[in-house]
Amino acid sequence: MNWNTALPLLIVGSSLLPGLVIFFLAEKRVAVRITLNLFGAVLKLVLVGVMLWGVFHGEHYEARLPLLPGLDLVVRAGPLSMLFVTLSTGLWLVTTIYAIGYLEESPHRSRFFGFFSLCVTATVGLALAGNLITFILFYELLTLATYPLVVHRGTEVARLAGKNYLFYTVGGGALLLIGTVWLYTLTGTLEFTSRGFVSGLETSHQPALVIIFVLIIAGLGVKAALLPFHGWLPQAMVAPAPVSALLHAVAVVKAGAFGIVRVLYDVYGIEFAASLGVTLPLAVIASATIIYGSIRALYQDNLKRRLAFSTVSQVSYITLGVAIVGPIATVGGLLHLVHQGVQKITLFFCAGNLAETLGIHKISMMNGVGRRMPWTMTAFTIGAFGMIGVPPLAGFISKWYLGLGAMQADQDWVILILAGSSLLNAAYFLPILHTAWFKAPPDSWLLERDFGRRETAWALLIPPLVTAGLTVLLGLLASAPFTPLEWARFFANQEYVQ
Amino acid sequence: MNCEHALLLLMVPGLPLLLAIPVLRRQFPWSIYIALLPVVMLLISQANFEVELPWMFLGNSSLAVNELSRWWLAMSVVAWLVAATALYLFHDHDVDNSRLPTFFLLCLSGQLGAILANDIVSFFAFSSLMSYAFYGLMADGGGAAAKRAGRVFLVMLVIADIVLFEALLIAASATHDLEFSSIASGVEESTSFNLYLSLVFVGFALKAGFWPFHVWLPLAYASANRVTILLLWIVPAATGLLGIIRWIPFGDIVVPVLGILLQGIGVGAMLFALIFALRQVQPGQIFAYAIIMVTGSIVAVMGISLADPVFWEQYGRWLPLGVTFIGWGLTAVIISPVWMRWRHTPADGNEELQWYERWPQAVLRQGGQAGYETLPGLYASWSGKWRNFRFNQVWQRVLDVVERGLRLWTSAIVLFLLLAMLITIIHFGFQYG
Repeated sequence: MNWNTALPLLIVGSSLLPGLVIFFLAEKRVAVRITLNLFGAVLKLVLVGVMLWGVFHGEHYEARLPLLPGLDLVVRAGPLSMLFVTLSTGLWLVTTIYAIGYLEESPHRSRFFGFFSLCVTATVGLALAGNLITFILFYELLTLATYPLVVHRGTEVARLAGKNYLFYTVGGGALLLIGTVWLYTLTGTLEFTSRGFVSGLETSHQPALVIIFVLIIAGLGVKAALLPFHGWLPQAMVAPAPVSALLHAVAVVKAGAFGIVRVLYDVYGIEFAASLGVTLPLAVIASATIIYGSIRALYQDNLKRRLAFSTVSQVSYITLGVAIVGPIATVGGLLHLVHQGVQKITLFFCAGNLAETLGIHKISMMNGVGRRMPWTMTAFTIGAFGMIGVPPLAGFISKWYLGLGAMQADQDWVILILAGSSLLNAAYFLPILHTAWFKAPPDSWLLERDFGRRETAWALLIPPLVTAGLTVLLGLLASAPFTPLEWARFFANQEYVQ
Repeated sequence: MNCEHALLLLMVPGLPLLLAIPVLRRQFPWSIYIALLPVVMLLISQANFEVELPWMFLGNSSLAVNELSRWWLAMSVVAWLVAATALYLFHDHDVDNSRLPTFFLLCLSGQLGAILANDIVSFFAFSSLMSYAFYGLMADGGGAAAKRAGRVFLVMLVIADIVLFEALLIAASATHDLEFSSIASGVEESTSFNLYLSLVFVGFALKAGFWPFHVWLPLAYASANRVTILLLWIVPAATGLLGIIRWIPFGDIVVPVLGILLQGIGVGAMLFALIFALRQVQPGQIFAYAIIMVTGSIVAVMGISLADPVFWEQYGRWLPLGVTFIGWGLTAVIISPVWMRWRHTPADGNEELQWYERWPQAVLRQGGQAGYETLPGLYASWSGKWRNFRFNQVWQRVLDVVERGLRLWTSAIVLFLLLAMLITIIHFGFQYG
């Protein structure tokens, strides 16, 4: 085993091992737990940095372990996987810091952080998966590792949300598995390839391939919160804020969206999928989800619930981008995978800060909160403007490429969807900002915790400021080297220019 | 171009942006004046130059100072200096510890950046920063009327940004280089050229408050704080005009139909402003209608130029000069009563009308309140209806029912897919087995 074989395994293992150790730590071993958490997160980030550099310079990283006869467990680095791995790893570090601050005084922290580490292990594993079976294994691990986090509070509402989450995701997983097995019987391989391993099949298999596509996309669409499989996501907002961040930005919904990209490009091949006629219906479903999610968000007074419906809407940009079929739209979709993650995690961190510091859960309770928590609300403002697509923030760049890609692919109706969605985004985010910055604050807050001269704890304040800063930088310096834009272009060039 | 020039150019929008951070701003007394130093230095230096920013935005971004931008900078720097002085002199609270300077500096950064932008994406980005910060200026510390003006402005702004975004996409699909100099030839050959022109005009008209999208402008003049009133010409209106001049290649294109339409709109705006200005009761609103009249006349000039490019070649160069002098003039007219009142406030606090305030009163007596009350009343009535419609519980209930239905459908679809799969497997099993 050489370095290029070991590195993908080390990246997966760097969160798995600390996670397993944390499970067995006593509650009072706070320092050890924090050290292990941060050590795992930083080590993973360094290793991903090394791999990123290597992939950029043409190195090939792959590890293959025998699983079943004819099927290996494969982890492999490529431009698409690196985009998702870097996002998950980077955001995991800030989420870990945030979670340490957020759960400072809550029970069952060893259990929480153990599953937390398992979650990121599963996410990185599925990002690096080199074939569909490896992807499914990590995908299901993600489902199982996330469930205890959703029900972490142990309340009746949390248990109900967890049950719902499990029902949806296990059902989706079953569809995905069945589709995969069926595909395997037709192709005899599940190895991801640049033009898709399905594209070489005879035309007589096309009806079956369409059904398989529907099964697999329905299975992945549950996690990607595609209409009508989105119901679990708004309910799961009862989970603690770091878990919401994990669900909405780092792992779960992103895993679904990433899976759809993988299936379209590396399983079916985008041109073959288009020839089967499955991409246009997918684009239509994604568009319907975008508009529906935004309309639902408009009516929510609960801040996290509004953000959850916003995720339903925003994540479908990724699906829409790849379903439009074209290099520029693909760049837009992939960029949004990263940009939405950074922006949405900022918003959830801020929502958590408001809840933990002042007991604010509803938008109607946010009057003048910008005066009490200016840094938190500055970060929130940046995240919200990014979501609307205001330049020069990250969201503008991804919407730009989506719009341009739609024009390039002669799908002008997508422009109307983008315009309508931006208008709705503004309609549900700007009133929050107006309420927070320009309305008079109340005489006292519902539940005010004292942090001295600071507005809240450092561990809660720094993560949203970092991710808000990233939102600005990813937009302002979008064309700099090593940015998500460059990686997305790298991937699109590989797929389309040959 | 040397390194100092590039640094100076970057500092013009960069320094106000940095000083907008309250922690930094509080370290420097008179921070707003400090923020204006680079632009003053840039105006003193006579050279025209450009700095390319290949890493920014979508690549190919650049900032440049040239003849056109110098006029806008000259106008802006005077207005911003006066507004900064007004902020320090007339603001009721501790300026350094209030939020107004933050919005002020963000707006300054955006406006100066938009003037120096050499490509449409940079212009769009800086003008968005300027406009959203300007909303902050309007809403911060203002009363209910100012907040209402701010809300109307915000709605217009959001729609304007979406419209301009579509125009940007058309321009980008027609030409890969988004510099203003390349847009002219690229967009002209596009099949969506007329759509592009229309979107640019509508977008900037919404953003800048041109007639007939001016609703917020009289409200803002009547209710916003003094600092904001001083900036109402140079921030939304003059920057909007600059945007149109930059985004549309006047003099190179002939579009007679749009040209005639714009002439009609321009004349309509002037007539509207004239009639309504005579019927106002609040002195502040006179300025709003003066602006509508001026922008109307400029739109008419643009219309003539689209119909006859020779007109633009002959007279177009005078437009920046005109805009600049109007900017200086308006600044002087707005600030002088405030300044004189501040200098001559009676000790007992009774504010008597000064000589310079009597003539508008005489003019105002000529007009009734009908026009003034009709439009806001109409707006309030429709906005109330819209609010009722939006928050009507029925809609929420309908959506909730849809949501519950979708959940049932999700289960049904999963079961259906499983069933379909089972049937297909059995079918294939029999066929191949």
